[in-house]
Amino acid sequence: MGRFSPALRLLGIGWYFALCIALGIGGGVWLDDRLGISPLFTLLGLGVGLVAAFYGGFRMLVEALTGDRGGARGGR
Amino acid sequence: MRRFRTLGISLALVVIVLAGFLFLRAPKPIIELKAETIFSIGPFNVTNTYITSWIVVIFISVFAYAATRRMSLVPRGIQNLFEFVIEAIYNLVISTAGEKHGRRFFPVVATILLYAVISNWSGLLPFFATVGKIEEIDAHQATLHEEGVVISKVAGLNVIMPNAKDLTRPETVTLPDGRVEPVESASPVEVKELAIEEATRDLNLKEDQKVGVLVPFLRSVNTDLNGPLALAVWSAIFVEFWGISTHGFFRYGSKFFNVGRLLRGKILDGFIDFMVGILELIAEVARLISFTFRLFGNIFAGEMLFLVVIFLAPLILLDFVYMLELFVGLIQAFIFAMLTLVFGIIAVSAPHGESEGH
Repeated sequence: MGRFSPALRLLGIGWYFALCIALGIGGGVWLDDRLGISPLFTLLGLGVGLVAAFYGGFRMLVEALTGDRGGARGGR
Repeated sequence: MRRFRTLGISLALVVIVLAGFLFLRAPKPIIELKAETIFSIGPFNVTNTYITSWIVVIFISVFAYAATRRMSLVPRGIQNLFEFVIEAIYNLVISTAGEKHGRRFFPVVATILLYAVISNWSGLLPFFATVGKIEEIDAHQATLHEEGVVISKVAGLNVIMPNAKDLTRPETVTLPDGRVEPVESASPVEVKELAIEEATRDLNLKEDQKVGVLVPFLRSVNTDLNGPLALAVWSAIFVEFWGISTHGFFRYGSKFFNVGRLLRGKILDGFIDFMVGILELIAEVARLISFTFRLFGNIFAGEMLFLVVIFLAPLILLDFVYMLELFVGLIQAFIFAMLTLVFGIIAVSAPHGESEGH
């Protein structure tokens, strides 16, 4: 199945994006609840989640398009 | 010094995000899962996603025509761009499927990829999902919306302004005679009128403002389940066609209705073969569903993310969402096209043996 890997490796990327953003916002809302300074951390969490999703997605896409260079290191 | 500058920039960004949150927020998003009908031709409803899909098709056709009209051996300008894209896809297909099958797969895979990418990216254009007609909250309408937003007329266009108010229809109203009535689409006109009056009482509408739901003229194709489903159905048709044309109808069909050993009298082995074939058939149908929902889910979620971020923080963070959606649009189209290719390769490889591992 090795030669199919670029497409298959990107299959779960939707989940990755969703998790990044959801965890960012969730963490932000939780912190705001605890500290009572809504909406600062919600917005910051959203920002951090978006940046993480964008950066991770970029890395995965570049890896998938340029071959297995980064993939061998990860072991899967 | 540098640390101060970084700190200053970070602080400025936070301040801009907060300023957007305080002064430029859009109203609470009204989420419409179904594509909206713009007009009807007889019994056929022309939806906004359908219009967009034709615009995408026309765009790709015109672009291809313009790029290949005056071909030169040394490509320049638009021809160069087009050749670069087509060559990249071609090399990818050939390197994955090999020369023999790759040349058959390439037109389909490239079409899916180009169509899906352009459809996904078209949703990022400024006039998408923002310019449209108003479906007013009106007591005489057949369906009564539960939510609405104040829409202003600016330069002849219906626009939702920053900080526009929204309203939620009350679930029940008290009639003048004291009766409490539920408010539904099927309620009598008087009840609906009272409910709308109650909901819009504090809005202080100006003359050129209306309360309603904005029905956009254009909407990203894959935010309508029918769009990805149509692509997935064509992808499946081509995969089966490749399989049948390579192995012949009966040999390819024996992958799903494997009764060879059963007919030869080996009951137990034959039964297992038969069940495995049925499982293959189920996997084939399940693949169609996963194709559809993957593309739809990702693009629809992206659109929702836009609405939510415009509602939460319209400055700076929105730019990140745009960058993210550029990726998501490309990646999902790429996955769709590459999976079509992969399943095509599985279909043309020997029906028994290699494919069992999957």
